[in-house]
This record gives sequence, structure tokens and C-alpha cells, in this order.
Amino acid sequence: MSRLPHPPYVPKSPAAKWLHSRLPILGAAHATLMIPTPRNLNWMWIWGMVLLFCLLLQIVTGVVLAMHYTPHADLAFDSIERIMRDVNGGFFLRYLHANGASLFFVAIYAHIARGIYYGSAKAPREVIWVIGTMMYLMLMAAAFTGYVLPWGQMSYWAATVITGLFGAIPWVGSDLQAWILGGPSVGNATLNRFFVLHFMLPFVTVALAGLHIWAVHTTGNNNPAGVEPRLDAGGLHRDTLPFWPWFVIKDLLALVVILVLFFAVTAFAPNALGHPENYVPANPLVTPGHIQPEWYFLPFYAILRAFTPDLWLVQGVEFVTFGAVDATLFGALAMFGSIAVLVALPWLDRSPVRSGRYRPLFRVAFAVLVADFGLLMWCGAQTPTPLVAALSLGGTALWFGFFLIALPLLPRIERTRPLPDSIEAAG
Amino acid sequence: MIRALAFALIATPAFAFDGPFDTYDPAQLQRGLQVYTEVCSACHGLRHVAIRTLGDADGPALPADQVRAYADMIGLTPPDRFPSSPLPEAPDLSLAAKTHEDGPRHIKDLLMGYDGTEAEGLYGNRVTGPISMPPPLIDGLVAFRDGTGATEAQMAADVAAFLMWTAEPKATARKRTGFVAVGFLTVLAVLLWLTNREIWRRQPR
Amino acid sequence: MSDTEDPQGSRRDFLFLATGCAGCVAAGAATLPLLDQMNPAADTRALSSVLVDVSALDVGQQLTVQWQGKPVFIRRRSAEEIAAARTVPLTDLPDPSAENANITGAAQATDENRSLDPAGEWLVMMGVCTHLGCVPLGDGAGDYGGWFCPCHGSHYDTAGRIRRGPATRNLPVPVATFVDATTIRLGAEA
Repeated sequence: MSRLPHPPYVPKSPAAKWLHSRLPILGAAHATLMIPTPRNLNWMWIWGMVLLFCLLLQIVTGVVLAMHYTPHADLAFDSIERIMRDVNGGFFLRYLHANGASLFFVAIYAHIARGIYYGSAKAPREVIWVIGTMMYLMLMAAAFTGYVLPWGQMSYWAATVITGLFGAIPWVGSDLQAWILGGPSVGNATLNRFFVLHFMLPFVTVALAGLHIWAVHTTGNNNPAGVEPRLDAGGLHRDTLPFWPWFVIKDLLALVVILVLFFAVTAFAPNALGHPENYVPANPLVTPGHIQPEWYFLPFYAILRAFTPDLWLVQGVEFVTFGAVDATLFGALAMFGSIAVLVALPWLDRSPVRSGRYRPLFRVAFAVLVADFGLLMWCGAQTPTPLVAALSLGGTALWFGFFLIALPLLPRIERTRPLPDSIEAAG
Repeated sequence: MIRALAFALIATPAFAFDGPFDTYDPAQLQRGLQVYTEVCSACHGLRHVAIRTLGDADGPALPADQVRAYADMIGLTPPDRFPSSPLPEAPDLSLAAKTHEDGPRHIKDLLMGYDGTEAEGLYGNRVTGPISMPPPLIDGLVAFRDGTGATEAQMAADVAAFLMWTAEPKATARKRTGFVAVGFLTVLAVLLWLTNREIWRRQPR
Repeated sequence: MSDTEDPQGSRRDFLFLATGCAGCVAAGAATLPLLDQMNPAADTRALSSVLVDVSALDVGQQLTVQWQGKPVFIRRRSAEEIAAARTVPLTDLPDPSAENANITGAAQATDENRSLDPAGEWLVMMGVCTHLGCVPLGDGAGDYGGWFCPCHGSHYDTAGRIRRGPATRNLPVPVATFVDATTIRLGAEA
């Protein structure tokens, strides 16, 4: 079923023959492991394996934590303290799960960056990309609902702020918000349903991962040169290597090195990436001085807050829509829009040259995008002063500028470097 | 966030238990327990902490009979946790050391930070601004069983260390697990690196 | 892969074996805490021992307390009950073993090996029928003046030993001891 020809599976042992004639699962595993993979894949191709590990880690630690967690507003905080103090090894499992979320996002941002730079979203891999963005959305939803579960101050107030965004939608907003919350404000009804969603979304993600890998199998991997492997037998052999063992071992090596760092952080600085305020039990009557989402949401938080009522742009839109779109809604739309442009990438980047290696202007634009992501992340963590608001606005403009202006226009103006003839020639 | 991460990994330890190789000092935790019992427990609770954990080897390491005597003294029947705050406005201290960045230092500075002023029922404090808790410590308030001089600074440091333990009783076990995990994964990484190099040398041309 | 000289080949094989083993050890080491977290947690283990105040118990009365989720019979036996238990020959007993957790090693089911005190006044047993787990009725129920299980008709005597019926084992005596004249501790001190 793959574009790339590879030897079919032939069951050898009697047991294998028996199973294969009833369910070709061994054949599917063989095909997946033996897919011809471009020889020139570099270290930015390891993140898929890291992501698969993160999904497994979070599901396994999550299921065992769920054996001890109680999703009731009066009991949730205490049940987690019980996990930290009384459950055998509970403290380590909890810290693995909390820091595992951070590792998940580090990996997914690196994975997406690879996709943008090397043109992995372009034809014929658009479906891989779209499924991938769906998985990113699942991850964000899982992370958001999961953060509410400890029912600390940040849990409660982050839930209040983000669900409040839905209230900004004209006409249906307040009903929609009540529907999401299960009440007039974040409460026990919200916690219970967020727990169910948090438990369930990872399994949806597993299904999407299966589709994602199937799609990769169908088109074949992209590679740093952006040049497809030759399909004749000799060319294919010189351009590719079977996935097993060369890339399985390489991926495992990268994974284990990353795990050394991950376990070091989990064991020696487990609360460094979190917010101390979340160790205070939720209090609906007292808002913390400085509400802040987890680091991986900070860039989007900055975009959300960038649009203040005094901006002429906001005021203009508010006027034109007869007050339906106010600053809050504008910010929310911008935030969701910043992810929507990511989904649309295959149709925005029209360059016939796939890899950023051969696109000098694109490389500059990409570097600006990465720096912009960092800037927005910093802005999201600051208190909203005028300077921070201005920087956030500039950062948002750069973000949309990259996707909506740079990507469509670059093919018309950039002079690309000559492409190599083959993967082998690319070196 | 990055600041916190950098701080956690690089900064010099302010307390004996801060570093990756450091453990709690049982003598200090016992003194801190004494300060908590004689000074703080009048208003503040420790409702997440189980009395039996006072006997933990990685914690205060009180002998079993002293743990039982302590439980009898506060008149506990199972379930075996410390009481909640007797004064409703006084926050529970179980997690106090984790609710602020660099919690133990914050607690110590707060206890030492009273400037002696008082206005409208609030006491001036350099760390928090006017605070409703009156200055709890004065020199010689507690007679430490191990004979250590009970200066304000000593009591503040000891109770801060004790509260770090109440917030994170498994810190030593966590670090121990960390060393085993990081050590073993490093060995595995070296083996995988050698294996990777070996199989890539043998690419079919 | 081409064949190489023997020493290099065996070095390569050793490397692959070592890596594979290290990987398996890592996977195993990761599995153990995942399984151990399901074991009773520290607070559950702490409830493994309770203190029972028996000062209000008269002679010929029984107190039933719940311990570790199961009923425990604490009976202050009368002289008649003690005498009845002590005159039973061991050969009459379907289960000759004392089933007493306080006695190490094998012990016969004499009344002295069943009661908590030497005089035999105090009898402490799990109130769970050894057949299928129902709670037997006490206060002289059954044909032997002790306990009778209504579920399938097991009869226990005044020392809690099975005499007739589908049950095969005497009602077990748990770890128990007097900590003072009026207080019994069930279970070992954690």
C-alpha cells in the first residue's frame, strides 16, 4: 500500500502462518518496520518516536494515578496529596506525569518545527500534517483538562479564564459557557467532566497516531533534502535503508539521551516548570495575583491578551460588527486563528521546493518565526504592562505575517538553491 | 519558568537539603517539630501530614515510642493526621514551603522580617507587607531538647526546614530514585550509542 | 551484513546482547513501581492495627468490631463455656489445628491455644465463616453452644472450632494482644 516498494511479508513459522491467514497483523508490523527510509534523516527526525513514548508514558502513569485520584471538588486536592505521601512510589509517578506533559510539548514543538522547515506538510503529505494538527489539539485539550484536576488555585482560575472565553461568543456565549461548565461557574460538575475528557482524549490520540503512521507509511518519510527517494530498485536501495534496525536504534538512542535529562529534571527539579500557586487549594473567592498557564500555552496566552480595547483595530471591528466582537472575543479568535493557520500550512506554503535547506529567504523567515514563538512565550509570562502588550501585538503580527503573507509570497520572490538529484547525491 | 529551572539546577543551596545529594537533617527537623508544636500549632494545622511519618528515617526519624507519645499528647485516634488549623484564618502549613518560589527561604525571611510596627491590627513585615500574624518568634522562646541555642534565626531556620519536610516528605527517596534512573539510563545511552555506531558502519551500500 | 572476523563478530554480538539486556532491565525496572503502586498504601497499612476498649463487656457477652473491613468477634466467655470447650477431645475436631496467628509453628486446637488469656475468659476470632465467608450467629447458636452460620449450616463450638457442616477450618484467631487490662490491640503495631 506504500508508494515505496518493499519486500512483502512471508510468514516462516507455522504459528506465524496460522495467524497471518486469519489476521495479517504480523504483515502490518513487518511492513511498518521494514519501510524504506531515506538514509539522510538527521536528528530532527527522532521526535516522532519521542512523542510515541510520551503518549505511552502519560497513559501508563495516568491510569495508575487514576486508581488513587478522586474527581470531586472536595476531595481532589487531598487525594493527590495522598498520592504524594502514602501511595507506594506515588510521588514519582505524579512527578513523571506532570513533567511528562512538558516533555510531550517540547517534543511536539520540535516535531512541528521540523515539519515546517523541511516542508513535510507539502504534497503528498497534507493528510499527515492535518492529522498531526488534530493530535496537537487533542494534546492541548488533554493538558488543559488535566491541569484542572489537582484543583489548586491555578487549576481553578485557569479553568475560569479559558472557559470564560466561550462566554464572549455573541448570542450563544453564555449558554455555551454554562453547558461546558455544567453550572454558573467552575465547580464540581466541571471537574468531573474534565476528568472524563482527560482520561478519554489520549485514547483518541492513540487512534489518530495510528492513522498518522499509516499515512506516513503510504507516502514515505520526508527527508532533509526534500527530494523523494528514487523508485527504481537500484536507486531505492542507494537512497533508503529499512527502518529496522537503522532508524529504530537511532531513535531509541535519542530517546534514551532525552530521558536522562527528563529523569534528572523529574527527580531533582520536579516543580521547576510548574507554578507554586497550584499547591494552594482552589478558592473561588480569591484570585491569585498572577494567573499564568503552563509554559507550553504561554505563546497563545500572549496572543489572547494582545488585543486590548484601546487598539484601533479592535475598536474598528467592534464598530463594524455592532459590538458583537469585543476585545475578549477578538483575542480568543486570534488565539484560535493562530492554530488554524498552522492547519492550513500545506495550502499556504506554495513553494515547489520542499526543504528549507534550499530556500535562503524562507530560512530567514523561519528563524524569525522561531524567535517570535520564544518572544510570545516570554510575553505570556509577564504581567500585562503596555510594553508587554505592544510586544505581544508585534509578535502576533509576525506570527500571522509568516503564515498569511510570507509563505504565499515567498515562492514568487525567492531564488532557491539548486536541488540535489537524489538523496544519495544530497549526502 | 526558565528562571526557576535555572535556579533549581544551578543556584547554591540555601538549606542543607537543597542540593541533589542532600538529605534532611533529622536533628533539625526535630527542632523544627518542637517549634511547630510549641509556637505554630496554636493557630496553624498540618492536616496532610500523618503522625506516623514523624518516625520516617528520611524525615525527623523519631523513635516509635516518641511517635506514639506525640500522638497521645495531641489526643489522636485514627485517622492519624495532624489536626486542621484551630484558627480558621490561619492557613494550613502542610504545603507552605511549596506555595512560593524558594519556599523555605521565604518562610525563614518572613519569620525574621517583622519590622516592629503595628497598625490597624496588622503587623509590618518586610517580606509580605502588613500581615495579620503577630511576630511569633523571640529569642529563647523554645528550649530545644538537644541543647541548641534557641535564637530567633535558629528557630526560623529549623521550622522552615521542618515545613519543607512536611511539604515534601519523599524528597530524599525522590533523589535516590533519580540517581538510579539517571545512572542506569546513562549506561543504556552509552550502549545504544555504541550499537548505533556499529550498525551504521554496516550500511548495505 | 557481511561476515567479519571472529573476534570482531563476537564483540559486536556481545554489544547487541548487552544493549538488549540493558533495555530489558530498564523496562523491568519501570514495571515494578507501576505494579507496586497497587499494593496497600501507607495510610491503609497504618490502619492494620486498632485498639479496642473492652471495659464495658460483661461475662457471657460478645462485642463485634470491624477491622480491616471484616467483623471480629470478641467474647468474654462464662465458666460454663470455657469448661465445655476444654472437655472436647481433639479427635472430635474436624480441624485439629489451632488456627491462631499468635502462635508460631504448628499448634493443636486445644482451648488453651485458642483463647487470648490463660484463664480462657477472652476469645478473639475473625467473624467470617471459613466455608464461604458469611458472618456466623453467636450467643450460643448452633448445636455446640457456640456459633452457627445460617448460610450453609456450619456449627462452631464455644472455642470457635468447626464441629459440623461444610466449613473445614476453625474460625481463625487474628494477631491480638492485651495492651492493658481493658484494651485489646488487633493486628501488629505498624
